[in-house]
Amino acid sequence: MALLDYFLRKKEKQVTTASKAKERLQIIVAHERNNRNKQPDYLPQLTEDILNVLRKYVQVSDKSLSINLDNKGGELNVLELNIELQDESNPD
Amino acid sequence: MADASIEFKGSSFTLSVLHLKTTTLADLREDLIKKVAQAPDFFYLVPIVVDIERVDSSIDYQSVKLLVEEFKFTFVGFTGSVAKEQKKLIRELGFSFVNSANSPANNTAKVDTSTKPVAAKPLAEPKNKQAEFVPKLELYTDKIHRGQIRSGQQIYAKGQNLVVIGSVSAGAEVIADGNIHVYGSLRGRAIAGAKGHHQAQIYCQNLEAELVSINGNYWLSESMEQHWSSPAYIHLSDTELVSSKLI
Amino acid sequence: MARIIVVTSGKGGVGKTTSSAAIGIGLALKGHKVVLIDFDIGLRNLDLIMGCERRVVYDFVNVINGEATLNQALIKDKRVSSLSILPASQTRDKDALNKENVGKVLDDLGERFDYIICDSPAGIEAGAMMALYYADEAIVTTNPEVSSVRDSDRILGMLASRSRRAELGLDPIKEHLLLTRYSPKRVEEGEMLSVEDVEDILAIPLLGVIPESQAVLKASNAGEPVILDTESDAGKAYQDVIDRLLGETVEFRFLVAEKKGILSRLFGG
Repeated sequence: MALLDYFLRKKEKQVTTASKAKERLQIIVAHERNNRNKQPDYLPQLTEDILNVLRKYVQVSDKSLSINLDNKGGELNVLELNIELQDESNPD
Repeated sequence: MADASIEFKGSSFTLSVLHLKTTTLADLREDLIKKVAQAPDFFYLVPIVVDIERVDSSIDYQSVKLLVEEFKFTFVGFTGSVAKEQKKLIRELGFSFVNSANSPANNTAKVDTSTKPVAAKPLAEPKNKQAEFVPKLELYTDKIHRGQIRSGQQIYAKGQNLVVIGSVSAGAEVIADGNIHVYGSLRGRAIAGAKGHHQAQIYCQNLEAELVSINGNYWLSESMEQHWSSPAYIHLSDTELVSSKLI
Repeated sequence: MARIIVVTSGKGGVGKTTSSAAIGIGLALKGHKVVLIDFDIGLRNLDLIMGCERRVVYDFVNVINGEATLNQALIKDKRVSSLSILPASQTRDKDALNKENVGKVLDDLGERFDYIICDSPAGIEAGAMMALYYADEAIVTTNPEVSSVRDSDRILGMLASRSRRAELGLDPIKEHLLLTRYSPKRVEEGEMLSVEDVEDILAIPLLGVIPESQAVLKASNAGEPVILDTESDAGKAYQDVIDRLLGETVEFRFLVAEKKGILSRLFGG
C-alpha cells in the first residue's frame, strides 16, 4: 500500500541522518583520541608548578619554560625541559 | 599659628544616620542583618550616627555601639532631639553626642569639628584640603551619554548630573554625584547623590530598575511596585525614598 | 579588502556555529568569496558542522605559529568552491591568539576573500574577544530566553568598547540581531519572549528570526549546513538573512504559528 510505504520510508530517512552522524563521530573521535595520547593532560599544570618553584629562586617569565614528552619508540619516554634563565644584568 | 604642626578647622560632612525605633537589641540585630545583607559593600566602614529620638532613655548605649560595630559600621556617636540631661549622660558614658543641623531643608546630621565646646552652627563650606569639597547640586553640569548602557558597564558622572539618552540594561550601573536622567528604560542600578547630595533625584521613562539609591538610601525592585514599568522619578524625603509619576 | 563579520552571542549553544555555517555557504552561493574561521581555542566545531572534519590537517594556530601556510590550512568546501574554512586549533593555550598575529592572518585573508566570517566561541574570554576585535559587522545570535538575552547585551557592551573600531574611535561595528530557536506557538501562548520583547531590551536592528526546527539537528548530523535544506523553515529563514545582509528588504517569515490541519500534521515535518 502506497500510504504504508510512505510511512516506512519516512522512518528510514530519520534513522539515516543519526547513523551518519554516529559514523562520522566514531572516526573523528578515534582520530582525536590518538592525538591526545601523545601529550599527557598533566603537562600544563606541571609547567605551572615548575615555574612556581623556579620563581622562588630566580626571575622567570611564563615563556621561560617549555616541556615536552617524547615517546621515543614505544618503551622509552623522555620528559624534556627547557628553562631560559634571565640575564642578571639585563632584567627583561 | 603658621608654624604649628596641626590646625583645627570647622568642616561640614554629611553622615548616614541610623534611626532606632526600639531598644530591643534582638529586633535591631535582625533588621540590621536583613538590611546589610541586601548590599554589604555599600555599608562597609560607613561612618554612622545613631538617632535615639524615637526610643526611650532605657536604651543600653554601649550595646548599641557594639551592635553597630558588629556590622562593620564606623560608629561616630548618638544624635537626636533629646533632653539636655540625656545628652549629658551620654557624654559621661564616653560617647559622642552629635548635634543635628537646624535648617529644615537638610535633615542629615552634621559633624561640627570646631574647637568650641558649645555646639555652634556648622561652619561655612570647608576650606581645609582634607575634606573633599562637594559643590552645591544646583551648580552641577550634565554629563550626557548617548547610547545604551549594557550589562557589565558602569558610568560615573563625577561632580556632574548624568543624562543617558538610551536605556540602562539589567546588570549595568549608572552613578552620579548629581541627578540621573534616563531617556529610556532603567533596568540596571542607578546611584544618585553619590557624594552626599540628599536632594539628588532619579528620572526615567520606564522604571524597571534592580536598585536605585540617593545619598546612600536605596530601594531594590520590590519597593518600586507602585510605579513599576512606567515613567517615574525617585527622590528622597527625610530619609525615605519616594517614587512619583513622571508624566 | 574583505568585510569582517563576527557571529557572536555570549551565551553558549544558541546557534552561532549553525548560523556561521549557513551564512557562510549562503553568501558563497551568491557568488562571493567567503572564508569561515573557527575562533574557538581548544574545541573545534565548525569543521563538523561544515562536514569537512576529515580534511583538517592544519589549523588557525598552526598558521599563526608559522607551522603551515594559509594555503595548507584552508579547506575548500566541496559544494561551493568560493567558500573556504579555517579550522580551530585543539590547543588549550589561550595566549596562542593575540591582536597582532590574528590581525596579520586577517590581512592576508582580506586580500583573497570578500567576506571573512568569524565564528566566535561562547563566553567573553580570549577566543571570543579575538573574534570580535577586528569586526566590521556583528551578528549577535540570541535565543528568546532570559540568560541568552542578558549575555547578548553583555557582548554588545564589549562590541562597543573592546573592539578595534571602538579603540580607534572609528565608525562603530554594525550590529545585527539574529533571533534563533524561535517558537511562534509558545510566544502566542505567552511562554516565550517575543521578537518585540527582545528588540526592546537589546535595541539593535533585527536581521532575522530562525524558527526552532528539527532540520538543524539533521543538518549537523549530516555535515550539511541547514541553509542547503531548502524545504525546511530554518533553511528558508537563513536564506532571508542572506538577502537582508546583501541589502534587500525582506519581510519576516515564520513569526506566526501555523495552524496545521490533520493532514499536514501527518505528512508535514
